[in-house]
Amino acid sequence: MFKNQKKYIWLWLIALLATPFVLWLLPANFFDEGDTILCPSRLFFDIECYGCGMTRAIMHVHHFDFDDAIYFNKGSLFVYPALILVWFVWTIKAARQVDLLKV
Amino acid sequence: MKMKTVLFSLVCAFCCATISPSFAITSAMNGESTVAQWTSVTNVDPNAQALSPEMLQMSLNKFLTLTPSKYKEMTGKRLGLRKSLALKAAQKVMKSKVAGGEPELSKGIYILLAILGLGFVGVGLMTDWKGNDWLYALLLGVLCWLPGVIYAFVKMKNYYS
Repeated sequence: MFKNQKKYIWLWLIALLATPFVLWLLPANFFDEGDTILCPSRLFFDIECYGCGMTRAIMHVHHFDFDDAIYFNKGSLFVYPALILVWFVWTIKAARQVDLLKV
Repeated sequence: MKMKTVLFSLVCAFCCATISPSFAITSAMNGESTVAQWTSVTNVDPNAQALSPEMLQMSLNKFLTLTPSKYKEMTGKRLGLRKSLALKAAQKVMKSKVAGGEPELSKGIYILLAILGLGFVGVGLMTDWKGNDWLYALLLGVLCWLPGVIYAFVKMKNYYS
């Protein structure tokens, strides 16, 4: 293990654990407003890709607001469970690395 | 060589001759007109698009930015999953109708221009030289013709239903 690596893993673990609560504290429509288009597909071709609206949709699913989530991106209903799984795996891994979990 | 020049001139003359006057729909209506007025002008069936009476009374600008949560704020009623999807589909249809109207160029001419490497002319005429789309088409066309052709064809579906 590198010097100070454990410290960074602790920070990473805290960030992981804090993320869902921070997102819950923010309003569900936090990302809804704004005209900035970041997606190259929309910017150049004016065609929505499969990822367009995903941030907004995920934020709405996170607040159990499924109508808006499905309006912004239908795929969010599949992506959100996958994100939970990734979050869970990363959290467990980080917790083991800092000896918080012995299993 | 002469033959090629004559042929190219003929094609250009044909292109210029087929350019018709600008949109009739967009000049008659604007974003403040209600959705009901727009649906009657653009021949969109409100029942087929599952538009509620509240939606029909909205201005077009408001309708195009409507989300299920905004609808709930306005009416106090939940839109539901199925109607949320229908709303998005209706907004898409209305957007394409508003943007499209009567096309300035016939589809054949647009395709011909795209193949000749003049896709930016077609895109420019279709967008009334507004926005940067024609500029992207020109820049992509300069990059060895093919990217410009692809871009013109990708944009084509926005102009023709």
